[in-house]
Amino acid sequence: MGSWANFIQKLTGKTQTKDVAKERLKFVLFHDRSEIPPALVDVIKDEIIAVLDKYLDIDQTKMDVELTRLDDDTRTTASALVASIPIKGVKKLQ
Amino acid sequence: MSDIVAFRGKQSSLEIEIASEADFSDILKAISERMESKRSFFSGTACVKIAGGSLAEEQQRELEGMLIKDYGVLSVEFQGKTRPQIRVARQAQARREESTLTSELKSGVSSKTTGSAVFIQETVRNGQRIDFDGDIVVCGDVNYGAELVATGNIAVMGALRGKAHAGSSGDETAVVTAYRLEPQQLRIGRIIAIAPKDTQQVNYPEIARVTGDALVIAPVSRVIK
Amino acid sequence: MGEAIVITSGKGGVGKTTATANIGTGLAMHGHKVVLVDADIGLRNLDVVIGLENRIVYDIVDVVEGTCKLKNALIKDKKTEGLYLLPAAQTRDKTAVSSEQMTTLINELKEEFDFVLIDCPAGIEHGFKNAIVAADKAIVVTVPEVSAVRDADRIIGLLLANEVSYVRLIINRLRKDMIDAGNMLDIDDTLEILSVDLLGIVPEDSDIIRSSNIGEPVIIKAESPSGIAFRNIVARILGENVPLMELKKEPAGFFASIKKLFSRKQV
Repeated sequence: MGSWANFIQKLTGKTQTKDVAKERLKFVLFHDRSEIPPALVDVIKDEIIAVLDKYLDIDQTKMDVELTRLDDDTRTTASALVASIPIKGVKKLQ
Repeated sequence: MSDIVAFRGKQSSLEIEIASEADFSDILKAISERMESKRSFFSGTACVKIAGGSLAEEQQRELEGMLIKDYGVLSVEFQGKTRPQIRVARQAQARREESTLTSELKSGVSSKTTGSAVFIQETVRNGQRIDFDGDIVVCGDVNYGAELVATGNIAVMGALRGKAHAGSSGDETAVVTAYRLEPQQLRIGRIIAIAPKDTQQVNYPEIARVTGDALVIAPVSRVIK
Repeated sequence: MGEAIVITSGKGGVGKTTATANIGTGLAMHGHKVVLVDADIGLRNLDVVIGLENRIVYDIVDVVEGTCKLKNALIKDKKTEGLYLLPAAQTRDKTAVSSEQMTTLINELKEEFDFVLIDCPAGIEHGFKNAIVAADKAIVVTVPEVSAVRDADRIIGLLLANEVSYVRLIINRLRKDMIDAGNMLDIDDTLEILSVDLLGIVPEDSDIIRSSNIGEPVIIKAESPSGIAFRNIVARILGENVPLMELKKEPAGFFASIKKLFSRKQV
């Protein structure tokens, strides 16, 4: 049945629920192992935006704050907070 | 050491022959060593019969306790001088009970009573245990994992699927009866039994009692005095 | 003042968390304000089944230790109006919350919500005791299988001994083909042994796995047999007299699978 499923997927372009499950599971396990609450990153992101917004003109639509695994081996639970923030300009301080 | 005791294994029982002239502590040691060396082989042995050794009552109790507690044996019987005395004592006791009762009831009905009974009007569940000095009557089921321990008799007006121990202080004239006798374990006095492997379910009430040295189960309607 | 219902089973893996998620969603769909409490501290799962795993900042232990206020830890479900989740902690264990703390917390929740559904952990120790300590009612979930029924019996005994006198049963994962062949305990067999009132039955349904994969309780799907079963259960909880559904055989075999492929969506 596996090859049928793949064939149908290519035809219809629809995702299998197991792929959704795999992604969600990776997310959950990463957060469980690093002991960082999943939504904390969003909270941090909002606060970073607030601070930067005081001094810099940043492109909020293109910014990205992400919790990722440190490189090297896949067994590490060490994580890194990686922020990528495009700066459009410097704000004039009052 | 192997001269002191001889082991003979049968179908589901083990016979131990003790050389009469040995010291009790040596006997204990020898038996324990043999049981230990073949632990997995002997564990769950339903019945151990011990002959010879001229053991005193406390010695018998000690040996029995060791076999049951340490090696998972279900029941221990001692053959030899002591048994006839016990049998006589049991019969005498039974007769005495009957005579007091017929005089009280005056109806010629043979009966037995311990004088007090507890009546339980619900199903006894897994994990629950009822301990009573007297008779126990359950109007409901006794589920697997539940335990009834009575010094007297046990009657279950439902399915007995758990453990029932009647005559818990040693009265082997006690009986266990149920609408559906499918017990996890049955015990009357010192005699223990678990269901034989190829039991068929029956749909009529049955009664379990000790006859000789075995637990015998009979349909209730055919109980003959 | 709302009511607190604990969903328990004794044995693990019989469907407590799925039942909690679906019953909670169903009650909220009827317009009630519902909070789901994951009492399985150290092994949290209710969040994943409901699809709120990526929204957790604070959990029940944070609330009980005063790290945050209760309302900060509650997660509002965006898909179902009126449904909230209080997640379990993942990095502590069940001893992190005491019975008194649990009682205070549940009573606080009862003031704000119509229904407080407590997802009980498997077993009979500290976690179980905490989950039942403030419950008004209990739903016992079992499957028609010897060891599960035995554990359910034990649990019912413990509930009654702990003054939770309103106990109802859900029999989960019923398979008509096996029942007909005499290879599975049927509803009457199970009720005969457990002597407790039936709340409902749920058939074995592969849609449950699909739903869990995407984090959406099956009760939301109108056509799934298990979704319908949960809707009936919710209706009975709300006082309606719904007859037990008829179990249908799940189609099997190659041609049946082909038929399924062309007649249903993949998700």
